Amino acid sequence: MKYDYSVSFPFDPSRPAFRRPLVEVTLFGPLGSSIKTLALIDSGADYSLFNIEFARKLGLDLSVGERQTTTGIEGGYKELLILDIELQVEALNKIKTPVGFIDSPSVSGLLGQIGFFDLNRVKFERDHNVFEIIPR
Amino acid sequence: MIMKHPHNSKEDKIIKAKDFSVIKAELAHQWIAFNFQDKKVLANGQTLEDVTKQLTLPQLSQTAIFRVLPAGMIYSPNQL
Repeated sequence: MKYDYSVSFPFDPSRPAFRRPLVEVTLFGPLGSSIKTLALIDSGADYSLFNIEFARKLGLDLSVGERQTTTGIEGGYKELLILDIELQVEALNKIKTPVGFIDSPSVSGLLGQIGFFDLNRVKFERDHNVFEIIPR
Repeated sequence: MIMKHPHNSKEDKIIKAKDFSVIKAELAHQWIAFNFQDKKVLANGQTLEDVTKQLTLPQLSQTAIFRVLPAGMIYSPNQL
């Protein structure tokens, strides 16, 4: 499936606009809960990361899962909680995949290497203003 | 949405870009519920919970909820 790049204009008008590969993603929790959000496709991220508030709202059990630390967010070490959840990218099938939840104001949602890039062929055609996600 | 890909002779399905043109700067750092069809911010707040409690179930199913990052998320299709 192909997706248009979105264009972001910074709130500071003196800064240039930039394009972002954004997709709608639905996160699923236990007992039928779900939340639709947006995620940036980020090849520089090891894990798919979503703000911890999504995990709380979905009713995920935060006492289980693997805890890791990550660098590169807010310039220091941050703790991640890795949980296997179901998610669905717009126009693709639902998958179960490990997702890192992080308590950071700098993270809303992004799709990274583990659990996204390793499950899909992702082709960026920035010059054509599209990117393509092909499930493997 | 069906569009013709510029480098393909066949018709390809392309998901249209998200339109963030009505998200104002004062919403930076806040959580919002945004309806891409109506281009409306249905609710905003300091936490995701603040936002979801303002919405009905049908509204929840029709909106994307996300945190507006300070770098900005304003998109105008006319400026592509």
